[in-house]
Amino acid sequence: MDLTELSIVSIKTLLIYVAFIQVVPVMIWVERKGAALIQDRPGPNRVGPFGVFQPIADALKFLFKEDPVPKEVNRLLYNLGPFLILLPSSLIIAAIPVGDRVELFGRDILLQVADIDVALLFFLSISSLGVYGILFGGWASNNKYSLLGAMRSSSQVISYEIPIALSAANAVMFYGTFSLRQMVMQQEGVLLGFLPNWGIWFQPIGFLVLFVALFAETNRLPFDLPESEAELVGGYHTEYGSMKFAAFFMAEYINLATASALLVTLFFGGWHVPWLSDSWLLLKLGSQNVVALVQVAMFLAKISVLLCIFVWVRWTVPRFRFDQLMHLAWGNLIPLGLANIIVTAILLYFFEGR
Amino acid sequence: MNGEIVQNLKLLSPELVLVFFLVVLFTVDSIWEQTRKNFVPLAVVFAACLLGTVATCWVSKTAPTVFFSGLVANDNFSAFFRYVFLFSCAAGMYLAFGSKELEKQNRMEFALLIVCVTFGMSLMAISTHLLMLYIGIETVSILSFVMAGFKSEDLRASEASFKYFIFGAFASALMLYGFSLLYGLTGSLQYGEIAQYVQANLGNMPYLLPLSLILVYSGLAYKISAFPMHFWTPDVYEGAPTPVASFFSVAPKAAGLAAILRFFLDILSYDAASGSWKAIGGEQLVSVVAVLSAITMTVGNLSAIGQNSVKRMLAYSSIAHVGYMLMGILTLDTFGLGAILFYIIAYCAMNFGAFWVVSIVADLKGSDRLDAFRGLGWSMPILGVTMVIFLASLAGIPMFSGFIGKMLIFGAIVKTPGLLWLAVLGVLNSVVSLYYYAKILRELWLEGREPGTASELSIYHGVALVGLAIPTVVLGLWFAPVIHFVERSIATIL
Amino acid sequence: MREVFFMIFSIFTVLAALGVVVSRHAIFSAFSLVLAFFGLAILYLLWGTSFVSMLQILIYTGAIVVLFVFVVMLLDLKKEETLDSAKTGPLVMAGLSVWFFSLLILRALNRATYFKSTNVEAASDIKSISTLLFSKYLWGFEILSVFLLALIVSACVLARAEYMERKADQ
Repeated sequence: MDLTELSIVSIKTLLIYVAFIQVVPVMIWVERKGAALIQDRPGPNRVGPFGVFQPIADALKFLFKEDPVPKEVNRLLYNLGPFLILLPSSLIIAAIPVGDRVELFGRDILLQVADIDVALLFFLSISSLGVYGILFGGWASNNKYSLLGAMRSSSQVISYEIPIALSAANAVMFYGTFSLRQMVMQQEGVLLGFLPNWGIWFQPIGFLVLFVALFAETNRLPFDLPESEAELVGGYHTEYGSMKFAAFFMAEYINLATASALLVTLFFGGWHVPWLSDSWLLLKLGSQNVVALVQVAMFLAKISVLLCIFVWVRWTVPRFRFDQLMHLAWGNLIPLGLANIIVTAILLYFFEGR
Repeated sequence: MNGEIVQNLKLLSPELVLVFFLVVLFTVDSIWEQTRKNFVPLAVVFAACLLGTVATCWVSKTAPTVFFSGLVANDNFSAFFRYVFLFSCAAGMYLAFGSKELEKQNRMEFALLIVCVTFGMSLMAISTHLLMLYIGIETVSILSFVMAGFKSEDLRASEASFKYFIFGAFASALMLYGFSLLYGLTGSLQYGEIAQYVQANLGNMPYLLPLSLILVYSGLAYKISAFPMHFWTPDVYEGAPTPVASFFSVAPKAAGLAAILRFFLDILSYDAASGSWKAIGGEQLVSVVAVLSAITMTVGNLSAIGQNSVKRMLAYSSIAHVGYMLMGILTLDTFGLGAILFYIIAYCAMNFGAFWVVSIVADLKGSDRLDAFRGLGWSMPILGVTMVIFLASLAGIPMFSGFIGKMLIFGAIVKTPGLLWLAVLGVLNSVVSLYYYAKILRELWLEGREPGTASELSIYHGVALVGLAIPTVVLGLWFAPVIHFVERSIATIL
Repeated sequence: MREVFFMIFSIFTVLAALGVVVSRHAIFSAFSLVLAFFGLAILYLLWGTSFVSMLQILIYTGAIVVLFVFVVMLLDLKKEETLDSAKTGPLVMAGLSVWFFSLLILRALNRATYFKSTNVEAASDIKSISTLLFSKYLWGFEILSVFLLALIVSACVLARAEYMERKADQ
């Protein structure tokens, strides 16, 4: 681990992390403009053309706002809440493959912070740590409604972790590896002559289960009962103001970005350009670095499409009631996921050559 | 590997029978609503125990093997204990059914739990790998916690269950620490391989080995409620429903003893020829175990004297009996170790019987204090007579099975040099125990008849009491075939 | 390098474990438990067993301690008051026993001769662990499912009393 390697890894980490954080301001604008489009109203259009500087305005607002701290709170845990919720969201970014390699300074640098061989398991474990920020934030606020929101949210999150795990198990069975990079590598090129070689054709039900469960994991509508404005004021982040509230906000959007990244990696070919194989690209474009740029751009494009779908669903579908939510997880998604695993196992056994 | 598994699976048929009936219970419970109120759980459990006994009989005909890559063993020793566990399961379920302490709606779950506990106990007795032992112990322990707190609306039961749980978790932690130290030393969790390590290092025994064995012993001692891990016994037995307490006093103790015998005999490389512990400073180990069993006996007996609640008294007496049984380990030959197994059979019948009587009285009078027994010998003669038989046997009065068991163990102790004081202490303890057993008998027969308590003993309980009293008497008179059976069982692990 | 990390994280884990015992408020104990398990997971990583490390985080910190925290929050515990009079005795005893026990362990560790059995299973990556689980330890693996079935039933049994009470009230 010499100095060059250390510095390369640090710069890579910084770049990828900062790049992912940029999702937050972009999503703020996309969300509000998207909501406006669906609800047939203009949306933010004061701050810059088409309201493009709205996120900056929001950030400035958060920075300069007063930070009210309720009187009888548990100081340590109250201040720790936002930190605890940002930590897992940031950690997951380490496992996501953004692109293939780049050749710089005579070395092959993988466009992934860490090529962990148990990357999918890492994703599952770290995302299950997100519960703590919600729980401690809600409880430490010394507010019964916050506690209720925290309880609801955390039970929702841990209930929906199981369908995610089942879907991930399904993907592992199919790809034969836990490493996200290996999974992407297997989705290169063309399938049957006219389809891009994506995972979704092979595991449609797995995709469905994961998609629905990720909505619930990230507390997005239609599963956002914990933060429902009409009922619980703000749920677990009611008592937080200014930057701490911004932290909760950021964590939610970064979670959204990583969830979309997971979906893209598992089911939509990761950073591959559809229909085109990497070697063809290398041939056409000459340098590996240019190919890497194209791949990163493709990855971002795919994530953006998924993010738009998330926003679209949010403003279209009404909210689930809590018991409906729980029943969906335990009564529908888990049996579906289990059946999916069994079917996949049977099919894999018979088509062992693939 | 797969071929071996499929081939040897039939050697586990008693356990598989239990699992099958577990699934049957579960399915029947989910599908058929009415079964909560009738005899279906009892019938299923009886069928399970019957088929299990048949399977054990069939399996014990094959040669002793250690199979599944050293995980479990099948020999006469395991067959013996499977018989004991299946019998206790059937008896426990029968008692629970007749008891008012367990309501009708919960019988199906109780049946499920008791069958699974029996399964776990079987596992403890047949395992030759520390991992299997741990799985067995935890199955029995955790489900016992739940069984103790079965009537969760009763505060005493919840408290008993909670105390049991805390103590059990603590003992489990100690035992696991011992397991991990053993693994670190020997690189294996299998009894045979640990024994090889001990053999290879007889000259320079690392200090960690006795330490880890002490830790493992403390975990197992908790299961059999020997000193120093006996403190949970009176509180749990008193708080738990009486059928559950009677099951606890017999079956997990036998399972713990099976595990202790298998583990320590295997690991300490007991040598049948020379008749001495080859490893770990032979003399010290003998005296340590002797002192432990002496203290267990004494603590059990002395604490039972002042008790007013019969359940607590019987709990302390069960601790004392464990002390007697532990003495048998010191004798280090087939005779002494076989005496332990005989004692287990005798103890099973008589302790179950004693608790059965307590359960009947508790249902009748609503309390288990001594004065609840007043005059019941006259109004329910069968109860009175069988209680005399059970308590006399427990105290070691001649011509009952308890006496024969004690005679065998004390006889074996007396033959071993240097342990005469232990035998004398054992006899003294038996005399002391006679005192508190006699207190119960006095209440039953000598305290005068209570007018107007003409209560009838139901046939259900009467049959069971007589059925338990008969072996107690018969084994006291005609015990040779049982002794042969027992010695054959113990010889397979020596 | 690895030794330095090991030192740092083992001290971290021990301090977190101490925090579990020493905290006045149950919720801080639960939080220290999270930190202790996390530290343990990092120690597993340092030994090269990444699978076990991820499982540790997933199961222990991600599920078990969450349940602990749930219970603590639902019980609405207050900060424990100290009993000033009863503090010195137990503390001295605790200190003495820790000292004695660590002496024992150190002495034992110094004199131990470690024996490498030839049958040690070198299974640290997922493939070998799963192969072992389904070949050598298959029986144990399958028994656990029976155990889990009985555990689910027992959870229902324990929760039933409250349910029955509520039904009776209605």
